Amino acid sequence: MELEEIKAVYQQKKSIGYSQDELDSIYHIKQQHGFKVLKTGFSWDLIASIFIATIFIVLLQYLDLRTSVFWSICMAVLVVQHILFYLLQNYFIRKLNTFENNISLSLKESITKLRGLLWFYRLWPAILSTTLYSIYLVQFSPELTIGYILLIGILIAISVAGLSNIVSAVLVRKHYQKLILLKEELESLSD
Amino acid sequence: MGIIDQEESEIIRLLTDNAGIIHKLCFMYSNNNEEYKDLKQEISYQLIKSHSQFKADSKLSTWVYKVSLYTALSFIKRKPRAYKQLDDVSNKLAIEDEFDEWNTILLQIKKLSETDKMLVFLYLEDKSYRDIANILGISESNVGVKLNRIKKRLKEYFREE
Repeated sequence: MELEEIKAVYQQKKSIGYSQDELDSIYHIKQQHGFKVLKTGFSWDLIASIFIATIFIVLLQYLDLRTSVFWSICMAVLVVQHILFYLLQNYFIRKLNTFENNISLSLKESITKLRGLLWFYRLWPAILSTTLYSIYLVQFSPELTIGYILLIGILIAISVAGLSNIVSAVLVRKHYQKLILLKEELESLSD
Repeated sequence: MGIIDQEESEIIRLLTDNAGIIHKLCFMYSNNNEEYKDLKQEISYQLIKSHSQFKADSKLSTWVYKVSLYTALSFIKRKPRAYKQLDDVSNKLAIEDEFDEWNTILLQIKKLSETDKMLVFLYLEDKSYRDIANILGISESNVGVKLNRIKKRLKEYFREE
């Protein structure tokens, strides 16, 4: 069978329309657009991060250090941020997929937007952890040399940003890579 | 008629008028009933969501092709679980029956790359090279060259079988 023959058969095929249930369901989605797409469920890595944070907080409270409450709050803030990042991925991906004049342009535009989102995933946890660390320095004035202060600050920022990016940006990164591949494939049509 | 009723009727008209395009595209890009349902829902959702972006300087059907194909390309591997599933039993059975027929026709085409499949879909939909080029954002001459290559490849596939 050649493509022309397939075309002839294809064009004779009748189409199934929308049933009333489908229309109702889709309109229901439209009405609830937004937070419905947040429900992606918890994965093992998210559960692991909550578990580790809980142990960390319990341990801090048990040790009853001068900074225990502060670091417990910081840990809780980081975990909440991590959960939000994780759950918002589907919403962001849909939100940032835009339709431009044609498919090629749509891919380019979406890739640019997703690249920006990935940088946000990389930078925001680092900014947040640096801010929290700065508050700690101002609030508790630890007896540390400037070198140690910088070293600890950089290590905290890098590890929080790295972990957050690896664990909470999984879907965005996958989607981004897929769009890049599609763009390259589409560009190969122009060769 | 209230604003919400009017919006709802516009959405329903948009979907029902273009049900054929969406239906055939979903068969092209899905391999089973679940994927079909997910993709149909995702395309419908994206059409509704971006309806306001449609500019009257192009045909509505061309815009529908662009949005639907782009959605199929970028969302086919992602399965939106948050949506209420479509439970209409009669429709489900009709789709399952139809899958076998479509798979027979589109078996070799489904083995093509995502972008080649897109070209073939538009060709099967009887779109002109100009329309295909406009939808995909490539030149008309490239559409012709690429389609000829695909035709040759498919011919070889069928010969081998």
